[in-house]
This record gives sequence, structure tokens and C-alpha cells, in this order.
Amino acid sequence: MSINSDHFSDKVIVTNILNGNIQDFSFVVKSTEKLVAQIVRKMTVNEEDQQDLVQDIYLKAYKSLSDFQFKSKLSTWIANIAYNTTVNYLRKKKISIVEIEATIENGIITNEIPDLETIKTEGVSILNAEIAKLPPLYKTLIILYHLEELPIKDISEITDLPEGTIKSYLSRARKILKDNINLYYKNEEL
Amino acid sequence: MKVDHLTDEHIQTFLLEEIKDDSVTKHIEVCAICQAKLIEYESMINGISNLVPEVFSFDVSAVVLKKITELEYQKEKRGSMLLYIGLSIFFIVCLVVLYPYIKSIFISFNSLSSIKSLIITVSVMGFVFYLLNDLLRQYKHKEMLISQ
Repeated sequence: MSINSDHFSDKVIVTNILNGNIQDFSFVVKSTEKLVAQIVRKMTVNEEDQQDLVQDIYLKAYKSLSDFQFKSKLSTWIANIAYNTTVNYLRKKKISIVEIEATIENGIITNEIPDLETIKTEGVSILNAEIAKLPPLYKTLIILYHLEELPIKDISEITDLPEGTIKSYLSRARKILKDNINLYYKNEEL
Repeated sequence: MKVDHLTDEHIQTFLLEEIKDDSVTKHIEVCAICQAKLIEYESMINGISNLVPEVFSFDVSAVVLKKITELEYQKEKRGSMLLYIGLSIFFIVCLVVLYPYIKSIFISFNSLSSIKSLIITVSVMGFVFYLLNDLLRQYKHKEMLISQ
């Protein structure tokens, strides 16, 4: 029902825009900018580049709106454009989207676990810092799955990656993140 | 005694309820190390879910709509230019095609009474004026929609 109503409202908005009501495109921007921000801001750091990327993403979406087949949600389709545009930008800058730098991949087993209260209070900034150290694709997958709570199927449509690959990347990303957080606390204690 | 602990992947899938496996549940109930790992993953995932989502520091809607309006204006300008070029070509082609008949048209006009010539001229000009006026009205209407 919800998917059908989403498709219905997507159809109304897209038809209005294609009929020349450009102002209706602002509804599309407002309803998708949070998702686009998660992708662009997690994969890139330069604010000026981010502004150019956002313009580029929405212009591409506007120009190819007539090609939108309503096979997925409009937000997923725009997120896919955002992801591909950002990946192309990273490729131009010769930045790998899955390569792990300065992270520990091979297990660190700590016997001393930070207590839950510490994690809650300092946790947010440490978590943000450690997520920022992840490779661009891992960051995006973690945020889309755990913060945006998108189903794997939608993430697969956004990233054009098979569902199995996404699950495996997510698993690796969570492990790296947990190990890095543990390492951070271990270094703090020393 | 060697104890086989659960892999991180197993612990994650158990936590996210992607698989239901009694042996995993039983192991976690008795193994303190795997339990600890489970708690670490749980608090980390809860932490991620509670993070403040990223936002842009600029008004995305305004920036994008400005770009699109510029794009539409350029498109409109290109369209008008193409229209003028097309009309000019059409006019030139008409002149070339009608050139052999121009003389006979003037002769037939001369043979008509001045009132008849006036009526024909005014009708044709009125028709052309109506078409051009309609074209201009449509153009202004589109321009108004874009600038809204």
C-alpha cells in the first residue's frame, strides 16, 4: 500500500514537472536531499566539491526525468544517480572507494570492553571519527543500512551491487569499525 | 581445551536476526567472549542508528532550482533562435519558389480593383499578425511559469 502510494505520488510529481511545472522539482529535492547528503557527504570531504556534486546530481536527474520508468522509488533512483556521480568524482580524483587505509582489518580481540555508559557519552564523537576513517563505500553502506534503515534491496539498487556483496561489505565494515573503536579505547587506556 | 568461538560474521547475523540458528544462541549463552563481542556490536549499531544525519550547509533547493531555471532559459533561448533560423529559411525558400510567379501575382493584383487588393492584403496581414501574437503569448506564458 505504502509502495503503491509512493509510486502514485512519484507519478504525479514527475508528470507535473514534465508538463513544465519546474517548481515541483523542489518537492523532489526536499524529499531526497537527506538521502543524497548521506551519500555525498559520507563519500567526499570538500564542501565546494559537494555543492558542485549536488548541482550535478539534481541536474542529471532533471534532464533524465523523462527516462524514469517508475520501477523503483524516485528517491532510490535519485540516490543511484548521486552514488554514481560521486563514485565518478572519486575515480577522477583517483580515490579508491573500497581500499582500506590506516585501518585494521585483522582481528583485534580485546578482553577489556569499554563500559556501555562510556560508549554512550563519548561514543558519538568517537563513532563519527571512526566511521570517517572507513573507505567511502563502507561508510555509505553503514549509514544507508543502519542510520537510514534502507533495506538491502534498495541499497543494491542505489549502488548497483549484488545484495550478497553488500551484505559481505557491511559485515566487513562493521568488523573494521568495531576493531577500530576497540583499538581507540585500548590506546586511551595506555 | 580448545573452544571454537563464533566468527564476527556469525555474531553479526545473529544480532541482526538475519539467521536463526539454535547452536549460535546456545554458544552465546555460555561463551563470555562471544557475548562480549555481541554487546560491542550491539552498542556500536545502536550508536550508528542514533547519529545525527548529515545535512548540507547550503539551501539545496534554491541552488538546484536556480541552475534548472538557467538551463530552461538557455533551452528557451536556443529554441527561439532555432525558430527564427527556421522561419528565415522558410521565408527564403518561399521567395525562391515563388520567384517565377511574383510577376504574375503583381499583374493579377493590378487587374483587381483597389478595394479587393486592400481586402486581400489586410486579411493576410491580419492572419499573420494573429499567428505571431499567439506565438508571443505562448512564449510569455512559458516564461512566467519558469520564473514563478
